[in-house]
Amino acid sequence: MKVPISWLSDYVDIDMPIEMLSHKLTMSGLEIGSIDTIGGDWGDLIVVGRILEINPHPNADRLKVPLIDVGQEEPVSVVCGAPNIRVGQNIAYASEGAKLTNPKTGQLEQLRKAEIRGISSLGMVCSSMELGISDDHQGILELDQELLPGTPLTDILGDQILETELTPNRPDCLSVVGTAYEVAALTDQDVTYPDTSYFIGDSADEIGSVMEVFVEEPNLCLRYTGTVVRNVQVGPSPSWLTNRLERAGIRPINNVVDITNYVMMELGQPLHAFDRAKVTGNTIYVRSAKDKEILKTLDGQVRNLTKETLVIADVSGPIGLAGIMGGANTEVDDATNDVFLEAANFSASSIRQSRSLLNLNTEASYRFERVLQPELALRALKRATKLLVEICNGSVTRGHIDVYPGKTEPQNITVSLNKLGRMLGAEFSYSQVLSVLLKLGFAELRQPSSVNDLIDTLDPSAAANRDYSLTVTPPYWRSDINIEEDVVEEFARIFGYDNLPSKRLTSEVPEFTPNQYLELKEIVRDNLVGTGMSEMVSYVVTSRENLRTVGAWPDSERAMKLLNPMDQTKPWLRSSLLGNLCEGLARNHRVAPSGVRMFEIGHVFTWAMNQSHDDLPNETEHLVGGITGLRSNVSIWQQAEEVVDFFDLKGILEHALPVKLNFSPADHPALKPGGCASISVNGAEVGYIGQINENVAGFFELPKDRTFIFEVDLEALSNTYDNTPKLFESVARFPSSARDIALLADKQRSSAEIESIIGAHKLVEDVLPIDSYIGDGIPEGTKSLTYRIIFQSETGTLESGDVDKAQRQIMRSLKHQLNVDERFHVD
Amino acid sequence: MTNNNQNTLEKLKEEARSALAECESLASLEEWRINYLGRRGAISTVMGSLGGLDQDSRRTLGKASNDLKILLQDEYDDKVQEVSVSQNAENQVTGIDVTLPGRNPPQGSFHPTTLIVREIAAAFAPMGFRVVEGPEVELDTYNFQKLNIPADHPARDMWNSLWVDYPNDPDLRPFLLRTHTSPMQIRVMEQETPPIRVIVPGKAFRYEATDATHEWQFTQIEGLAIDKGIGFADLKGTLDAFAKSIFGETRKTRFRCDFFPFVEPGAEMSIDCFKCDGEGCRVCSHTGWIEILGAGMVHPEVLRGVGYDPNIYSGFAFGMGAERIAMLRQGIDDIRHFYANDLRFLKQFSQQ
Repeated sequence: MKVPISWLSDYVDIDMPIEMLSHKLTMSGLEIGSIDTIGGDWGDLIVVGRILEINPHPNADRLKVPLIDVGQEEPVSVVCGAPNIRVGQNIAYASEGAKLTNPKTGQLEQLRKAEIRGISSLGMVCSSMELGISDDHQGILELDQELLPGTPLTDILGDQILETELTPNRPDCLSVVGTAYEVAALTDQDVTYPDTSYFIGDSADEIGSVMEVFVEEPNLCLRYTGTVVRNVQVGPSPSWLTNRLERAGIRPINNVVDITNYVMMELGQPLHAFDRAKVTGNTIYVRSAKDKEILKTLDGQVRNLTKETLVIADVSGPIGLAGIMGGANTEVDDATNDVFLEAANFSASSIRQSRSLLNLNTEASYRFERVLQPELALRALKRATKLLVEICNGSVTRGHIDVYPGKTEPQNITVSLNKLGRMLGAEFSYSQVLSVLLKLGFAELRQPSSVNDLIDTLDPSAAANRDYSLTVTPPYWRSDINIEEDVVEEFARIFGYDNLPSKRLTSEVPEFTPNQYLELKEIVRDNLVGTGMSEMVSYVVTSRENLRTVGAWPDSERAMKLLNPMDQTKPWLRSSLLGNLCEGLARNHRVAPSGVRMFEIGHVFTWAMNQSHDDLPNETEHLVGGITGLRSNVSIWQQAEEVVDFFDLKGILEHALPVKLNFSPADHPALKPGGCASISVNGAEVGYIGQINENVAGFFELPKDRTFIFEVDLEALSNTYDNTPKLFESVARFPSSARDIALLADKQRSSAEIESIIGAHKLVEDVLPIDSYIGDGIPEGTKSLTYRIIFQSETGTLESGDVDKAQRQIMRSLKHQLNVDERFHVD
Repeated sequence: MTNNNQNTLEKLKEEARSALAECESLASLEEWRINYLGRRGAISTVMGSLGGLDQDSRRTLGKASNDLKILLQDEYDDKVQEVSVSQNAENQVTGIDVTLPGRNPPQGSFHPTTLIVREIAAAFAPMGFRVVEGPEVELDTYNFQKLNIPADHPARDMWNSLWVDYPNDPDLRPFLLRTHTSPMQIRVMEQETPPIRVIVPGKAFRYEATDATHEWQFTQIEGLAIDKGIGFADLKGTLDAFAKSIFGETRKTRFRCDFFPFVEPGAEMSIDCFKCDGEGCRVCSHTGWIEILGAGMVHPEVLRGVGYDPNIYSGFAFGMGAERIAMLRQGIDDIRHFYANDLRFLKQFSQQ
């Protein structure tokens, strides 16, 4: 909200530089976003001028040449095109050098002497917009008649405006008076509350005889106050009023509407004025709209109403949207004589629902949905009535309508000073706390002091030992003070958080419980980076095509979709990270096609079977990784361009995951048949690895012959991870001996099968594939595999004969079980 | 006789030293050593010939020849050192070019968010805070209601939500992408008993237009400490220690009142600008201070909601944007870099 200092000063003295005040307000919770200065650089260059005479421009019908008294010996003559210029008028005169806003560009420009169609103009008569006061450029700004020519304009219109950025709990500070209470508490002053008294003529009618109100929804309208003001003279508001409204960012309309807006800005209570003559009958109903009812609101829009919306109605139908906007059918205009004035209180959540259904945010709904106190309504009604009497020459009716179904007793809050001290880490006295609360508008509720005094006289230590507590009633304009802690915050923020003590945690340190899952995740992350992989993070949403392409589209009942996605083409929560990975690989492959290695750890989502509305859906964490392009960049050491293959990525995975992985041939919808494996640990499947298939390559624009990816379910992996410290195994005491054997096997035979048979021999310590060959020199349909076998005995040094015998046994098993022959003897 | 022998020793010394001076290689030095200091070398020969002398002469000459041996040995050692050094220097000219690049394995990199999250977690670890993680799709109950943010409360405007379409009942909107990591405060309190000290890093999502400082998806780090007797002073001290650990020991912190429905009192912490030391610069928008995090004492309603008695237990919570802290510290100009997955960005932050 915009709070002009000139307005704020009506209620509290501003006795410090605005920057300092702004800092104090910000630190205590009322953030000042900016301070705008009006007239900061006007100086003596812009002054009050009086139009002495107006001469026609000899060369232009539209232009005039007024002679202006600017408080100096000689009047000045300028050229002016404003339609509203009159002799005798006081205006703002800018002389050469003044900085004015150019209405065409909005930029500040320095005024120069000019010759306009042959007549020289020394200065300029300014509009509000040129002065930077408002957006009004209809004509020149008229000043009060009493002002003396030559008076610097900054003395009259100069101002500073605080732009406050409010948190939603402080609707009270959506008003100048509310802000004044903050200033008062921070600067140790009292607030002067606006005058709400007005004269009631002897002949005034009783309100009851002219208007009555029925609240049909007492839960939605907590209070309705109203009155009738007669014989108002509708017209423009006085300049002090329009000035204030404009500075607060409200566009002046006419004096009646301006007064309702003025009181809203002053006290924070929205009001509405109906043209009494346009209201049918003498009864106002506060009721829910009926289906299919319509109302044309003041903004000219025709609104289709539903029963969720509360309306103000007369016998003929709705005349206003309660707490949001009035109806056009009862709008106050120049012909209005009598006004029905409303100041009511509506349920915050109902207003919030209605304004979002109607998609209509107004100053009024903004305030109501932040919870206003019903106590505010009558004060605002009286204040506005007073102004209608004074400004519009209205005459009041006696009494006022006050239907108050939501009346509650003021809530008293007791604050234990011990608790306050514990919470804030320091002791504070009763009077110290109380004085802060009083300045904020709290009222003290006290045991008769005579009772305490009596106790203290009898026992001088009683005062010191007593568990002092403070009982207060929060100010009626504050809706955010409900519990003891709220009061503690009130004291703390005015006292200053920075003035409170600070210490390190001294309470008991919680028991440490290691988290094996997070430990595994960070080990995997470290290891992957160690193998040259770069970590990426992508958005959790994607397109259906993306998920389909990587074969991760869950059936339609399981796929999760956002109602309001940021990007309409990506409404689906990802059920796999593979698509995101491929996008990352492709993006970087385009930039640097030499070699890209990336991985991501992130959540994937699907609905559970029979998903209920109070259980979480399936959400687990996956790991994906992929490589594309060259194995390593060409360098002085690596001149040949080597393309990555399956075993590069398999090696990375084996290195990175701290468990023993098993790979077996498998199919996966994103991976090339025959180039894909499932990954399992101790028989439990945890993921897939392989070369991307043509479909994936085409969709993501990746080279299909050199792109390999894997996806692993980290939570499944974690179930297989054992981080208990490894037990020592004795180191072999006798030398080992190595033999290489070349085997001829069926082409489909997996190395893992052969290795497991070789490894099963009791003398075999280790078996390593060292060569694999398919091609000339061996029969069609076979492959040659060479293994280095490490023989080792725990009982003695192996003789050559022992090894020969073992090797023969192994060959027999291979032949017998897998039909694998020795290709030739390697020696 | 003694004099003669003395002269012989003197001559031997001259001869040996000039021969040593001429040695230019380790091989010639070895030859010299055998000739003069060896078991059958000149010194040994002289010493062996002392047997026939009288006792006085034997003692005098014996000492003299021993001194000579020590002297020559020292000079020989120095010379060996000298020749070795010069030979190494020669080798260098004809050896490898050590300035050529190493045969590097491929260089991987951590995402900058991972790095800052790890660093922040490490700053809190010594204060007894352990890391926990939670779901990114949350229930409205946990994201809002249990955090003292009822439906239709204007505070909900502080967190514009991305709602999940719930197919089983289109009238309900029970699920959303969590708008903050704060629901984990509730989950942790429901599952554990005080004392509690946790840090919760994780993704959070807001329905907001993106620009250089706003992303709809970002990383938040939540913190929670609950026990008997925890007060505002503990909040200030803990967060001050954190700020100093991340931004430097000399940093000052500042706390102002702020509002979050799940805390009371609520606060916002700023640090004095590390770039200009509070003088005012572009980094701190010329205010001298940089907002770092929101915090506050856990609201009694929140405690009650998880079954804790607010008259017994109290605590504080805080939350901060991980990317924002990385951006501030590392001068990253646009938060959208974090999710663009461009290696030219990603590779900049891992140590190399």
